[in-house]
Amino acid sequence: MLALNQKKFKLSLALIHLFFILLCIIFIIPMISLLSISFSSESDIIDFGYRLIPRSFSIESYNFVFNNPKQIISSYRLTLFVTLAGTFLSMFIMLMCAYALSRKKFILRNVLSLFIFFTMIFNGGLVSSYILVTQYLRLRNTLWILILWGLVNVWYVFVLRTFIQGISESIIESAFIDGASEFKIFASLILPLSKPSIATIGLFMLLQYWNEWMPALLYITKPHLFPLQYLLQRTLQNLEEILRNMDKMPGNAIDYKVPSESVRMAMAVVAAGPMLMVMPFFQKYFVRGMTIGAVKG
Amino acid sequence: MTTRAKKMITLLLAFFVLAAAALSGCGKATGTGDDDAEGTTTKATQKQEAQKEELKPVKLSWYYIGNEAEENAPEVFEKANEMISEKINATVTFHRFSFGDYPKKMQLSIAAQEEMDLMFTADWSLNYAEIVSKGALLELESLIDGYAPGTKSLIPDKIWNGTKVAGKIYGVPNYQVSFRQPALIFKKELVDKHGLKDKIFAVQKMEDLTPIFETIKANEDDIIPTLVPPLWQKWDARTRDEYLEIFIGLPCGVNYDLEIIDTNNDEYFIAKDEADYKLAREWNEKGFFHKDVGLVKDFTPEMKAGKFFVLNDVYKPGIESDMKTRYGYDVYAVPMGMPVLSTGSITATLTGISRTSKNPERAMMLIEQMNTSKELYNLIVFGMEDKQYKKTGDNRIELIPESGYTGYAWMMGCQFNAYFLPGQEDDVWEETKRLNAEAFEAPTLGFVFDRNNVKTEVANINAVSKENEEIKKYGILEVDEYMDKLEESRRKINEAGLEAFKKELQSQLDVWKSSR
Repeated sequence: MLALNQKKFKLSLALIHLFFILLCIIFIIPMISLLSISFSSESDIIDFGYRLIPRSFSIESYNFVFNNPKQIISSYRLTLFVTLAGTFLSMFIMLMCAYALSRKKFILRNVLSLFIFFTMIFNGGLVSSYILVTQYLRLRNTLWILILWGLVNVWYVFVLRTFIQGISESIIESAFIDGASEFKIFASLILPLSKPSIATIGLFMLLQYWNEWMPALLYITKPHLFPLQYLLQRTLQNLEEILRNMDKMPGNAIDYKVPSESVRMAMAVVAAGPMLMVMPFFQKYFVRGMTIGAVKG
Repeated sequence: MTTRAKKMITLLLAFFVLAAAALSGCGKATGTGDDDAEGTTTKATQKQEAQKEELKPVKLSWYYIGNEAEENAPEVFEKANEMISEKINATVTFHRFSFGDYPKKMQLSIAAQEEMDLMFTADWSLNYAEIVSKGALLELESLIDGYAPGTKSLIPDKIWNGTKVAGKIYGVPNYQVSFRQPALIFKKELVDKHGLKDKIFAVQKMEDLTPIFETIKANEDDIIPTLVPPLWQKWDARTRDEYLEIFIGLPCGVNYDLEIIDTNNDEYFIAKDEADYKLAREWNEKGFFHKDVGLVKDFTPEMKAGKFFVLNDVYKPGIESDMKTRYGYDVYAVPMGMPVLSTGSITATLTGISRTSKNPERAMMLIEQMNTSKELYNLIVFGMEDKQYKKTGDNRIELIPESGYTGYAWMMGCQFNAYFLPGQEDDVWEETKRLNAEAFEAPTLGFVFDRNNVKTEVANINAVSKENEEIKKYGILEVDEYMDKLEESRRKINEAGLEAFKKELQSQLDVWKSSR
């Protein structure tokens, strides 16, 4: 009886393992093939197609990516800066906002909540924000637009608020009695206690800034302000547009530099790489962070 | 997930706003069009006085497609501005956006009513008919009469007619090859090796290619015979009676007598579709297509590596040299079908003047300069001598690779000004002009279909056609299996609203016919 149970148990376990192993493989294979293509030479791809292990190892495409145009290096620097500065600024502002909204004593709490929440459901649309940014704020072709675009995510503000509400009110009260100012309470108590939520939301913001290319498409025309993802996006969009309209174009456009397959993959690796490295550092907070927002305050 | 949801909402809202803007723009265009036309005519009559006076310096902006990241562009533009300011006392800011970005960025700028002067527009990129209906472009007739007499006489009337929307000109064609004719591009080396030259030039219909491909397949292991699938609409029509103009890729066309032909339900055309498929299937079974066809979207690397025996392109005189620079090997170009002068072929490259322009007269003068001043045109297209190109003859140049500047000859004015490139015959422009004059004039010349009223139907029909597109082109399924699919897709297309589309097309054609 016992043996049977054990066997049954093992079988289901094996099945579960098998399922997750297969799932992992499904996720990992594209990554490996991406890497492999980026390390293949162009002629190998033409002759033998895509392979999981490159036939001959070549770093030709990486040489092309890093040597030839200075563009990619400058874009890299820019994206790195925007990502770090943007995430920092955005976390700071969202946390302050969330803290204020979490305090029951704050009179404007409900009004402000509604005000913020409203933007989540309705917004002015692309054209009006475009007019605002270009004609009133004059942020076109500036670093600021890359940072300010998506600085505050309302959803995250509410998640953070919920988390902060979970911190016992009495801690704040006792600090208040000890003579701490509001900002002091926020900086020395709330911030350290919110670490898991900061790590989780911070990671989301980091990813968001790293992957964002919309603001660049809309507001950036100067090549030295092209973020990395926009550079990639543009390459693919151009390729698509040219292929789609080949029959209609009156003349050559294909001499517009279309990077080869392996160069495109190398660019993708270069663009995704740093985020893959960052991931493990957040891992330990991440699991705890996943449950935040689950308890409604 | 939530950011995505939010983005979706943003996009949706943006779409509504754009749609609203488009609608309001539409109303405006019809409302203020006449006032503006009057305004410009009075301006034109004042022109003599204006020209007597010294021209005040103005700034112009010109938007077109290009690579904004080129390092030597500022140098070229500086030189161009020296020339332009000398001639018309204007300084031009050149704004170049890449192929993918151009329509998106410009749509926004237009919706936001930004101040712009000149812009590139076409039927394939920043859609000409669409931005005209939004009221983004100025009506040009009087400006052309007043400030661009050279351009006006340079371009034949029938080509001007192709640019008219509701009887008015909103864009100046960048004059060049104005007809469209598909061409098969053969790899010369292989044609000569197997003595196929006579055979390829004798090809009339796509089925004539089968024996040629058989020879190639049997003798050349590494070569894929064709990238080109059979498609009767594109390749096989050789006479006026066979002519059918297809609108926005729908299975429905207009013949020479301006009758609407429903190719989805007409027995004759169904038989043609079936014959096409049988041929595609035969080619597929014999291994004439690339093995990954239908999966891989972009074959550029293979094309450049010379893996294909046949490619396709748009025919024009001197195309052989274009192909050589593009793919790196010699080719024979065999024109197929008919050379057709249509609204689409003419509006493929236009320069328009924005309604928000503060100096439309000066903008028109710039267009005139691009069409008549050989020096300026060649500077902007090819760059500077000894930096971007070397002169090899009186009127002949060779481009220096990696020179940090490129322009598109077909986007910027009259191409007959251009220097000859290696491989182009001295008479290439004469030949082009001759063919332009001889080309078959589409009965619908000047007619543009406006899909706004049947947007849903068009989208639905397109979605159905897309489902089987690759299978159909490359004969991926067994014939029997496909015939069932075809049957079903035909029914679905009818259900998706083909009838509504036909009605709309008919009523638009009627309106257009009566306005002619």
